[in-house]
Amino acid sequence: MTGRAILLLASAAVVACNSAVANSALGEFSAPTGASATGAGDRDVLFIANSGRDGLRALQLCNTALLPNGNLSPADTCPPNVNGQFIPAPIRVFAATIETGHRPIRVAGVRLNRTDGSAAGVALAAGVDATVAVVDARSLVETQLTPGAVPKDILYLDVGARTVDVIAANPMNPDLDVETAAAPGATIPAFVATTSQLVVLDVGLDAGGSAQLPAIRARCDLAPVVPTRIAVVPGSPDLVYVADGVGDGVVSIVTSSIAGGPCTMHRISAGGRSVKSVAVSPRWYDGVRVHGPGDLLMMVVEPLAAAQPGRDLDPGGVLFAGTGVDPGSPTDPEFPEGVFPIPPFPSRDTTSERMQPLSLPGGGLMQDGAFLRSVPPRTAAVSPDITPCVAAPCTPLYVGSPSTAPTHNYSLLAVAANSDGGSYFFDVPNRRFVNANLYATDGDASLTPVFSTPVFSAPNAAAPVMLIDPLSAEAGVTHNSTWRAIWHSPIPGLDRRGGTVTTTDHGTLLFTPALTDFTPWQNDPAIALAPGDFVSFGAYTADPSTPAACQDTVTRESPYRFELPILAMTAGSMELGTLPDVGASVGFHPDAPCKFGAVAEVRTGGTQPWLVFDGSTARGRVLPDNTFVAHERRFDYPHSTYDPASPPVASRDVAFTFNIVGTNTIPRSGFTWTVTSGQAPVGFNDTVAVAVGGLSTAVTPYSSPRVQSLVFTSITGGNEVLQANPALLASDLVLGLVAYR
Amino acid sequence: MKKSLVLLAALTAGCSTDPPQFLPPPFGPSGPSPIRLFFPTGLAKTSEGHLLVANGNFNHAFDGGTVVGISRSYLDSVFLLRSAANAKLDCGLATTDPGFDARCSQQIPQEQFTGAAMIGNYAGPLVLDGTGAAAYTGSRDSGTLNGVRIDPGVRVDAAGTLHCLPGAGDDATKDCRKGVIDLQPFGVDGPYGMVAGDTVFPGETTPHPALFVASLIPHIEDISSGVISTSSSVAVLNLQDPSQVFFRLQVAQAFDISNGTAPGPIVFDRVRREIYLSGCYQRAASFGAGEPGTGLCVGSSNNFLRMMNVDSGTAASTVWVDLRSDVLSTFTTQLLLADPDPVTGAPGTLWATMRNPDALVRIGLPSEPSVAPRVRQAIPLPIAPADMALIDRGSASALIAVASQNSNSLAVVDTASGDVVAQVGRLGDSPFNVAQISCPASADYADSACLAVSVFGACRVALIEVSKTQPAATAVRALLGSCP
Repeated sequence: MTGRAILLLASAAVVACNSAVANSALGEFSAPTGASATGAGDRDVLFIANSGRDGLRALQLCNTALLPNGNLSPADTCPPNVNGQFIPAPIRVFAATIETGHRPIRVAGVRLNRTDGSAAGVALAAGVDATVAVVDARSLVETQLTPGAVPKDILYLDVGARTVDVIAANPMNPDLDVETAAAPGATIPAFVATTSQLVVLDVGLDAGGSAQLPAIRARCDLAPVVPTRIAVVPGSPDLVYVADGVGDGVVSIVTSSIAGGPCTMHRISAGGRSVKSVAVSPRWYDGVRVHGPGDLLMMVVEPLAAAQPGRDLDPGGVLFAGTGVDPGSPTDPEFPEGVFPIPPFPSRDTTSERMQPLSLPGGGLMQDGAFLRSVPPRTAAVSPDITPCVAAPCTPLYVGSPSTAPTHNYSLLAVAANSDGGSYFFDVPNRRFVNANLYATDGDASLTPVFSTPVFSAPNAAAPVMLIDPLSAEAGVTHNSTWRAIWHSPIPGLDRRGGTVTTTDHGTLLFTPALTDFTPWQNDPAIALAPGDFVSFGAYTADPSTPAACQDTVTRESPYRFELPILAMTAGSMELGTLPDVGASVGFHPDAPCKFGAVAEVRTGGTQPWLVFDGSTARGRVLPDNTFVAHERRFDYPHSTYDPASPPVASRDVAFTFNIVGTNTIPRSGFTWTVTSGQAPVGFNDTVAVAVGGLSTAVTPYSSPRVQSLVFTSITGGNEVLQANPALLASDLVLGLVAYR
Repeated sequence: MKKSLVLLAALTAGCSTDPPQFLPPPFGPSGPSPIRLFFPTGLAKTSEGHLLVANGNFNHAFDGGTVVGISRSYLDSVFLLRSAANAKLDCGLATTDPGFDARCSQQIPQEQFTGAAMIGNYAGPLVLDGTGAAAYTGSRDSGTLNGVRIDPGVRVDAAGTLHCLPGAGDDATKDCRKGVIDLQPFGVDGPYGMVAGDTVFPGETTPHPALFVASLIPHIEDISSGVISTSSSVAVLNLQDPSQVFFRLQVAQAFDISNGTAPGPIVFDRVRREIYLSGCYQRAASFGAGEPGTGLCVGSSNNFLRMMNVDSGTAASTVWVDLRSDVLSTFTTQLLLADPDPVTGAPGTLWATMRNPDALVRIGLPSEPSVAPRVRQAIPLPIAPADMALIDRGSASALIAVASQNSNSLAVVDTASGDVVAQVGRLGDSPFNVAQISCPASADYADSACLAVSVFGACRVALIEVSKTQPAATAVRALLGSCP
């Protein structure tokens, strides 16, 4: 790995923030996942689990503080040409594979110092077996500097059951709010979640200053919790949060209570949802006071298991919650325990409706989340905050809008990785996505959803007209989608069924499909199949045992020539009316006895013949008065303000309304229109490279005395790692976004 | 006179314009030769537990492929091999590892093959009929459905247990390359994905066993001004006699939402009476020389799941659900139905292995008909996932084993947690298909599932043990066969 750069075209941000030309080192990634940094001599080393290759990659990041003018310090011994380069393999064009084995998934960097005060960190890697791999970072760095040197052997600690996650409780530098190392010779607690236990480790160095096997301090049983991720309060080993992959929300466990047997747990609800990822807020600054650390949780919740008729399947999303822990106001915490209330209600409000999970307006599943470092206000430049910010909020994010002031400051940002390959930023106190359109025009005007003109599929002079009420649209509720309203629509999931038709003794027809139970369609309120709906025959098979007249009737028929009303129905059959001849118009009324095979297309009819689709999901039928109210699941609270008298409660989540003027006569004809949400969540992804498509799984924030804030996202499905500088993103084609492959 | 006849015969032979035949082993290429594996793809377990392997002949070294059988007793014996320390063999070690046992990598003894029969090229998945008396696979270069009859027993006689089906070739020479039926007249130009199921004809009430065969190659309908119009069909064959076509289902037409593209894998939902298809293949002049070739869809912005009712005959229509807003793949390599509803038996989950991004995707199949299927979970996998197999664990969550074609490995996923709980490597170049086979009747394997994986580029089958109680203990137990 000579540092030969490959030129990558990548794009940042979802919306309009394209570009980024990034120089990156070759990491030869195969399904990268978790990452974490530790110190090693004069630099940090970011270890990235390269799960497809049973090993770790080690990215070097110089970490010595810059001078106040932003220049490198003369005392900095970290060579600039290793910054952003992987520790090389013996054949130096390749990145070193640190073979931990057993598909490492999660990594914890433990920041330790030797007795001489130099950084000698350790990486703990958890994978698919019952061991934790212990990697000596310092020896890896020294191996590349000293010809003939070999790195320390990887050590393995058996923790008794398959590991799920590992995290270290590194100290924080109180002046800079970045991780720092333990006192020389001291140990640092680390926590391992296995499938059944929470294990507390004491991680330290041996007498020679090298990694040694951690000591198991204590453990406790997590049942009934099924752990998915764990988190600690930045800078504190006193409390551990465990995301529950089966139960509701997360549980907190006081470290000192861990002493064998069942864990003493306190549960924080996520509104009944299980959680796939949890993060704890750092210390943060909002211009009023200094918060935390540890007063907020970010929970990435699983999709709801149950389907709701007439709604698309829930995607889960991001919830923010208070922990109830507020050292500055312990008896009246600013963020009481529990999921945030909906805006505009203040965080202390515990009675108002809780927020809905935040998700993208167009699809995708949130996978992992993390808080970013909150930049403290200062009057003078102090590395890594070279640009002074006198009053909070001071945490910059390049939004790209408006063009005259594209960078905005926030008090606390979070970021989440999504299955679409992107990573998206959240304005945490305002419980919403960072949204470029919020800044595009005054008065939230650009947040308004946009509707295309409905197009009727069979244009004619007498065609009906659809009128969408744009004022009924609600930013944060109205999704991106393509909608249809079809008159005499085929019923989804049932549309065409083969069966047998027989005449009855009272002038009707009985259609009996094979192996079909109509009950689900009758019971689904969005479809409500019932007498009054129609059947149209698309194919006929004459039964040779029936009279010739019957056979003749059937063989002369053409597909879908007419519709017959459903007069009555059971779970397994439909009684259909016949169609009389009217003048020269030939009906359909086979003389009894008659029996034939047919393929029936079941269509909506009666007083509600219009069926409305959002994508492939049937939303419901247009009411008899030709109006329709489209309810959708809220995915964001994007407005700058909300009226307390008219808060965005779930029961009022109306995406839009429309009505249809005029009558239609052409079965299966209808309207098609597209809806654009009006939301432009700010994020980054790689839309040009081979890894298009992505599937991001893990997001790792990084800060140091030199680096104000970086975000590393593992694009696991695309075999690359993206490094984003939130303050730059698409504004800097070199440093804003870098892809490692 | 006799000499004249001999001379005449020699001259006649010398004037023959027939090209020489390079029959696949064991039938050639120059006289009988040992049975072996070459580009193995499809796998199937017979009712007696033998393993059938389809050899694809992808490099056209021979004039056809083969289907061969490997006896269960041999597979059992390999699983039961013990090291000097009386431990099961761990064949996932590097061959240079001191712990690697030489018996891990072995040739299959000739007497352990239960038979061999010639088929066409490019064999794909291997599907058994309902009784286990026949196996089928498609040949994409000829549009032929290959069929092999499976006789009971280990090796009835020197001819083995595999034979040509009636009308599918010359059973005397085991040359079944003629195939059961040419599917090209039915719009199935490149048969690949296939699944056994049933269909009820309109006007009838009794299901007919059926073989649904999808085409990887779109059928050219028209070329106008250099623009290719294609369609794609599924042939619905009589499973009891696949030379009979019940009807064809048109899963894509030139001017529908898919632009006439062809799907890859196919599965059958007996309760909903539907087939599900996914993936996207298109024809383009740039893919071929002369005739337009077939390749993965380029520039597609959709990831369609296609669904069709199987009881409507040719009147069935395709229902499309685009999964791309959740997972940006266009390349599905396998589908698998799971999680049957305890009351109706309708599957609640459709698993899909997808590439770019490489993932195992859980698609929810709601019981509410108004709600469209949607991705519920995307689990990242090692590079280029291919086939998969579901491992039932009773009351515990099922496992799914996924072959990873470009990392020479097999990953095991716990369907409850969505975690990869085991990964074994060093299977060889391009693991492709996975089949669950019977484990030895030994206490050592009482809580295990046994898998066979065809390793395409290494001319071998890998045998893998998955512990149902401790999946992390999944291990490679043998690597059978090798390329010459």
